[in-house]
Formats: sequence, structure tokens, C-alpha cells
Amino acid sequence: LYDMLIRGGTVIDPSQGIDAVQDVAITDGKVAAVEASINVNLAKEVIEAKDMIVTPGLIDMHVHAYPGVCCYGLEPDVTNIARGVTTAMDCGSAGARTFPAFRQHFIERAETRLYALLNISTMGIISSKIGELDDMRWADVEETAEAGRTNRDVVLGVKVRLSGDVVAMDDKLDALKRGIEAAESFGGIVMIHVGDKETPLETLTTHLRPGDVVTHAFRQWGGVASAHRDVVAELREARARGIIFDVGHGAGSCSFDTIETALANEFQPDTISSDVSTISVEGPVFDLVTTMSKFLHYGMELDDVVRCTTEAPAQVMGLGEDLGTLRPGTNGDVTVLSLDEGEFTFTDAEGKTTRAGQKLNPVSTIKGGRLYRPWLR
Amino acid sequence: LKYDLLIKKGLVVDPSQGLNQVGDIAFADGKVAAVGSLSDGDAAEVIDATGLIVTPGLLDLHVHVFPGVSHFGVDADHSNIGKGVTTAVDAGSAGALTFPFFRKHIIEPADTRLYSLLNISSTGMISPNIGELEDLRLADVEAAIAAGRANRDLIVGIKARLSRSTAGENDVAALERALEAADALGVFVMIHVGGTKSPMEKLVNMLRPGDVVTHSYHGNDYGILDDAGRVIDGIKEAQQRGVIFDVGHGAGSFSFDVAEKALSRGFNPGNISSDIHIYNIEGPVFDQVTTISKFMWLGMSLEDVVRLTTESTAKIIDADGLGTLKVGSVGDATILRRDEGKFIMTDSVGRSVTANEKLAHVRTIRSGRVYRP
Repeated sequence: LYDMLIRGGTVIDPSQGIDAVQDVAITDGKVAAVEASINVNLAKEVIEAKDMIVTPGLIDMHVHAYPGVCCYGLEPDVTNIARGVTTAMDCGSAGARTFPAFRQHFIERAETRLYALLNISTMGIISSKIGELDDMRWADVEETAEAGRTNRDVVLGVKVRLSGDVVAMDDKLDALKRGIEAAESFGGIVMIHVGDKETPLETLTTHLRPGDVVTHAFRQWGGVASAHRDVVAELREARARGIIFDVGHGAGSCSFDTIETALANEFQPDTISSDVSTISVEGPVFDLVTTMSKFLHYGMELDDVVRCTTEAPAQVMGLGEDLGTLRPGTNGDVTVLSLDEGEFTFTDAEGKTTRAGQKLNPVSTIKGGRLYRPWLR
Repeated sequence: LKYDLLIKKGLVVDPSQGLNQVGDIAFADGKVAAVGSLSDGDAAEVIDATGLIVTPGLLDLHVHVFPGVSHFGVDADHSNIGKGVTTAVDAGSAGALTFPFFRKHIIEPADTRLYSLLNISSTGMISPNIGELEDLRLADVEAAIAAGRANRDLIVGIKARLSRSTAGENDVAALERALEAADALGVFVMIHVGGTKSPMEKLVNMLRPGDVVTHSYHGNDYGILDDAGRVIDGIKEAQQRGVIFDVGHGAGSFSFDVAEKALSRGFNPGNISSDIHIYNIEGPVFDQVTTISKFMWLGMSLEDVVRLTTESTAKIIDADGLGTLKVGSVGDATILRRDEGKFIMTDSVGRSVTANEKLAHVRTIRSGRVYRP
């Protein structure tokens, strides 16, 4: 007997090349079977997903989930698992000094599967007014390496925010080098946050290693392209080398003009993340599925959009064996979505709006084989 | 039954009522219900305190209990209510930006009754390597006032750590900002002194009656004594006009030598606090009861040291109903034992003394209930 059967939905699982109406069975918290038709009598609980889209549990690779310490932090479950995201990665809200409380009070208690990148600044992101790398003494390699090793089960790498509001121009490369040094000491990835007019992205990507991530890559300037600038050869080479270009929409880091140029240049994002935070959760970001819908609207295939929030981030995070897939034996994380039709207005981080005819919405979320039901807790 | 709890036959030491005599105390509905000679049959639970001391629940004006964000932090309940302190004031571990988390995840769930002094630095105390007031932009008066107003039930004052290691050259400017925020909120300022850029006298002169100097008996540069070991006139005058000189023992801020000289000249503390934190909880501080025992070794009476961690402290934080066993007040009490023997006690500069008596914590009652974690 299966514990749960998700029945009759269109299963999109790019990790297995599946895009077809299938049933998904879960037992003991793991995916048990994905087949064209599974007998309902074999399941204790049945979730009808007819006309719905069934994906591996969505992964948001860029969130801020440390409210009360990080100025951008949001309650992790309200913004993630309740919105279809079973796994989220906090990107540098905490640094080595503030990580222990983040771990104890959020990571270990949240219903959402939470991972983190440690900020190379040991205080993390506390103030929106004073950059955490304004004083480079905060960029402490040893403390970061130690915290990374101690918390390797949940810390996947190091975050370095390299925009002009966070770090002085002259310190950028030093900060990045420290981030890489700390990450290397525990085998983690580095994610850089980019964005200022003075620093072309290709001057930073040359320093990254395969598997490292550029977030905010589709911003108005300082990203992979702009309304007036095509994707340069250096960035294609960086991608060929294995550098990951992530969305990280956020309140200030995603431009429809850039998306249009990049997609016209056949330079899709590798991963789609929301960077949802206190200053974007009430718009223009709202959540991950809205962010996905924007890329769908600008012409990406649904399969690709789903890959960018399932298989692809799982691999970047080094968790592809268990997450971001519906292969039998993997974690029983499943998101049921509806692709609604109508008239939807989307807004980018520059205030530009567009009208779309479709939008993804979360219907139900299953994590570890259990339907997320906060109203029954 | 009339009472939930009855503590029988202890030596009741309650300076707020001038009590120092054997008697019984009863609690009902979380409050002190009766003091005197009371009957066992009226109480659901009876504790025999024969040979023990019963005081109002102890208050510690200077603790650090924000572990995981502030590097100084220790677990709030282990270090306070578990050691006889029913009410503790965190002294600046959190600033305006980190207070929301501190409130929700530490203060509200704790069994210890916690209050806070908001650090004038909006990050609070995060790193031992980088001082929170080295960059004066962090001393954000507006942010402190807004956080203070939003949390006026818990924030009872403003903390400014003025040593060079925390404030660089900014001691005067940081204190000005702390006073501005405190004025707006109608609360006191606590300054941490020792190794400041400015002489202590200059900083203390800026304080208002009711403001607090912690680490008063430190042995570092710019203390309360002159080169001849006399209390500096300006310091004495400040105490006379109502500035409170608190102990704040800590890992580096209490010298038996300084305290001996000061006390011999009549310069007693206005409050005794431990400054308990991760760097001194395994010694030399251990806890608040050990700290007050050190002042007994220095010659103060039991009644005086109890007053300086009950009635006096409650008055500083303006907490009505705490620090007293008056009938109708909050039902917090601490049961202590006065042990005799040989006890080695060490200050923050490595001097050890051998005392022949020491107070030990026996039990804590909070809101009329025995604390049984």
C-alpha cells in the first residue's frame, strides 16, 4: 500500500525527461513510483491532480529567512512551503557570528527544508543602510570556514555581495577572493550578488570556479545583458566553464528588458530564484511561482522553467541525488501547480509592467511524503 | 486552600520592608499573599527553609543572554533563574535591528523575567573583533527610539559601551547619542567604562541622575581612583547627585584592590550585577550569588548585598512589584544558604581571596511557583 497517490496530473520532471499525464506514488516519505496509471486502491490517501501540473518539490535558491536579525528576512514557511517551495536556500542573511541562532531557531524548526550560504561578512546582512563589507574586517575567512565546517550539513557555500552599496569598489576582488578561500576550505560553492554600472559582469566571472553562482544575473545593468548590450562572449565562455547564472529577482535585480535581450541571445537562466524579501514580498516578486511565470511569459518552455527550479538548483546545491527529482527512492517532495489562464500583470524590479495570459499558482505542497497542511497543525 | 505555596521558617531578608528575621511567606495567584507566622494546613505545597535565607527574587542588572547572535551570550534560564535570578536585564546584546529576533526567540520564551537595555549601536554586540561603535553610523538614534517605543514593555534603558575596543575614539559622541535616545524614551543610560578614550569623570559628568555606570570597580585605565588610591572627586559628586555606580563584574571589569580601596573610603556600589557571559560563566564570575558573596567578603552586610540585587535594582529599572516581598507584589523569591568554610574567590584581574562564608543558591520561586526545569 502506498501512503499517498497524486493522481492524473501532468508530471513535469526534467530530471527524468518526463512531461506527461502520470500518477505519482509516495511511501515512507520517498517517491515510490511514477507511472501512467496506478490503482487508487493501492493508496491510503489520494490527491486528485487532474488538469494540474505535478513537479518535484520546487527549490528556491535565493531567499532571506532570518527575520528579526536580517533586515530583509521573512518567515520561511509563509513564503516558501506555503507557496509551493519545499526547499529554499538562504543567501547570506547570516554570517559566521549570527549563524548559530539562525540554525537553532529557523533552520531546525522550519517546515521548509532550509539550507544556507554563509555571508563572508561574519555579521551577515543586518542593516539596509550600512553594507556588511563596508569594513572589510568583517570578511573573516577563518571564522567563515570554521562555521561552514561546523554546519556543513546545512551550509552549502558562501555568499559575497559585490554591489557598490555593500562593498567599496577597491575591495571587491579582495572580498570575492576571501569568499572563495572560505568556501574552498569546506568544499562549498560561492554565490556572488552583482549589480552596479561600473563593474561589467565578465570582470567578476573570470574569478569564479565551475559550480559557483552569479545571482541577480538578469538585472537592468551589471548582469548578463541589458536593453543596449548583448550577451558577450566572455559570459558564454563562463557558462561553458560551468558558472551558473541565477535570476535572484528581488526588489532591484530583474529587468524585463534584460530578459528579452538575453532570451533573444539564447542565454536562458540556469536557475530561477526569487530573492523574496521584506522589500519585495508584497511586490514585485511575491513568490517563486510568479518569478517562474515571468520567464514563461517571455518565451521559455514550461519544462525549462521547471528545470530551473528543480533539477538545476538541486545540482548546483549538490543535492541532486535526493531533491529536485521524482526518481523513485528520492525525497517525497512534490509541488502541485495550476497554470491559470486569464489576464495577469507582472512587474519587474524597474517598475516596468507586462500583461501575461498565463500564470502558475501553487495548489498543494507535499514534503517528505506529507501534505503541507498548516491549518491542521 | 488559601495559598499555593508556603516557605516556612527561613531567615527572611527583605530590605524593602526592613525585614531580617525568621518567618513564613505564602504565595497565591502568583503573588506574595502573606508574611508572618502562617499555618501549613493553608498551603498546597510547603517548603521548609529552616536554616536558609529567603529573599525577594534576585535581579541581575547586567547579563548577556542572546547566544547565537551576540558572541557574549549564554542561555538565559541556565544562567539566571537556574541560579536564583528571577529577573535579568540584558545589557546591550541586541540593538534596534536585532531586537525583534531577541524578543521573539529569547525574551518571550524564557522562564527568567527578562528585560533589555538596547544597545545604541543598531547591530548590538556581534563580534569580539570589531566594536559596535567604531562606525558611528551604527549609533542610530532614530532607529533606537523607534525600537524602544515599539518595545517599551521590555526595553528599560539604553546601553553604550565606551571602551576604545568597542567605541574607538567615539566615546563622547556615542554617549551623546545614547542620551538623546534615552531622553526621547524616558529611560536611563548604562555606560560601560574602562579603557575609554576620555577620563571616566568626563563621561560621568554627562550622565543624569538615575543613569548607571557599570564596571565601576574595574582595574583598567581611567577608573574611579586617582593615583593615590582615593576616589576622584568628580566621581563622588556624581554618585551624590544620583548617578548609580554598578558592579558589572565581568571577565575584565572587577578588581578586589579597587573595590577594597573604594569601599574603605565609603564609596559603595549602588547596585551589584554580574555581567555574566560566555567568557566568565566558568569563572571568575560563575553567577550573581557568587558576585554578591564577594561583596560580603569586602565587608558589606548580608542585608546590604541583598538590597543591591533586589530593591535597588528594581528601582533602577522602575519595575513595580519586583525586588520586594511586600504582600501583593510579584511572587518571586530566592532561597539561599549561607555556607561556612573556605572559599576561594577570584576577581577579573587574577587576584584570589579566601572567604570563610559564601552564599549558595538553593531554590527559585517565580510568580508563586517553584522553578523546576
